[in-house]
Amino acid sequence: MTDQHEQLLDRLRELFSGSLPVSIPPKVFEELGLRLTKYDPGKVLVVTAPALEKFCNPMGSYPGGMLGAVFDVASGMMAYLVAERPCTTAQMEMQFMRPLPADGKSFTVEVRLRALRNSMLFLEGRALDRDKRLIATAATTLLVLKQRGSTA
Amino acid sequence: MSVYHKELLDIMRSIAGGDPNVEIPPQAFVHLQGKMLDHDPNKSLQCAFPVLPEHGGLRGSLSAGSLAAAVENTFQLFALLTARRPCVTVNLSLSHIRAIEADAEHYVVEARLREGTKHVLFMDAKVVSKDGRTCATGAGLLSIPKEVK
Repeated sequence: MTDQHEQLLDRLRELFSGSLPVSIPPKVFEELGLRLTKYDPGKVLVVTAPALEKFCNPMGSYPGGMLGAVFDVASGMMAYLVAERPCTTAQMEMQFMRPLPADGKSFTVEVRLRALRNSMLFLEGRALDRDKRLIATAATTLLVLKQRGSTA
Repeated sequence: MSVYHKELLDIMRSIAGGDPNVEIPPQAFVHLQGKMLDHDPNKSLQCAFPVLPEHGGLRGSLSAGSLAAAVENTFQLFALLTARRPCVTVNLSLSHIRAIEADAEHYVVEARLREGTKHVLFMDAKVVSKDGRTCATGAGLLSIPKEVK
C-alpha cells in the first residue's frame, strides 16, 4: 500500500487555500497521531493510528470514544476530499466489537462513501487491529456546507 | 467542584478495590482534563471538560470526535459508579446540533441512566455549552461484565 499522507494533505491544502480558516491537518489529527495511508477517490480513505497509552480507559484499552475521534477525523477528511467543500458531522453511530489494547501498536480505520445526497454525505467506517480483526464500525452523516470555507 | 470530584474519585477507587488493572481516574479522562461536577446515584453524572486547542477539528471548533471521547468517558465513569465495576461500551451514538467554538473555554456532559439491568446500562447524554445551549445529544449501551470472584 502506497502511503499517500503528504499527497492527500497537499490536495486538501490546495482545495482550501485562501478560504476561511480550515486547519489542515486539524489539530486533533496530530493529537491522535493519524497517518493517511490510502485514498481511492470517492470510494475509500484508509488511515492508521497508534493505540496510544495516554488515552487508555480504566481497563487499559483504547477507549471507544477515542476510536470515535479517529472515525470522525477520517470521515471529515474523506468528506472534504469528496465534496471539495467544508463539511460538518451531523450524526455518528458506533458499535464496538472487541477491545483494542492501548499498547501503542497501530490500528487501521477505513472510511467508505455510501452516498452523497442533497448536501448530505453518508459514510461507513470500520476499525481493524493489526491482525485485521474487526474492532468497531461506524456510520457517519455529514452535512456539506454551502460555500467553500463557510462556517456552519 | 474539586472537592466533589475528589470524593467521587475516592468512591471509584474503593469500588476498584485496589485492582491494579483498573486505573482511577482513567488516563483518557486525565488527558481530556475532565472534572466531575455532580452525581445523583443511579440517575445522572455531570462532567465538565475544557476546550483544548489540540482537540480542534478541520474548521477550528472542537472536533465531533473529541466530543465523542468526552461523552464516552462520562458514560464509563457513570457506569463504574452505577454498576460498581468497569463496564464495556458496546454502542455509542451522537447527534451534533451546533459547534463548540475554540474560545468556548469549557462544556458540560450530562449522562443520564435511561434503564439498567443486571447485564446492560442504557444511557443518554446531553452536551451543554458554557452559555447553556445544547450542542449535542448522545446515547450509549454499556455491557456490565460478570463479576470475577
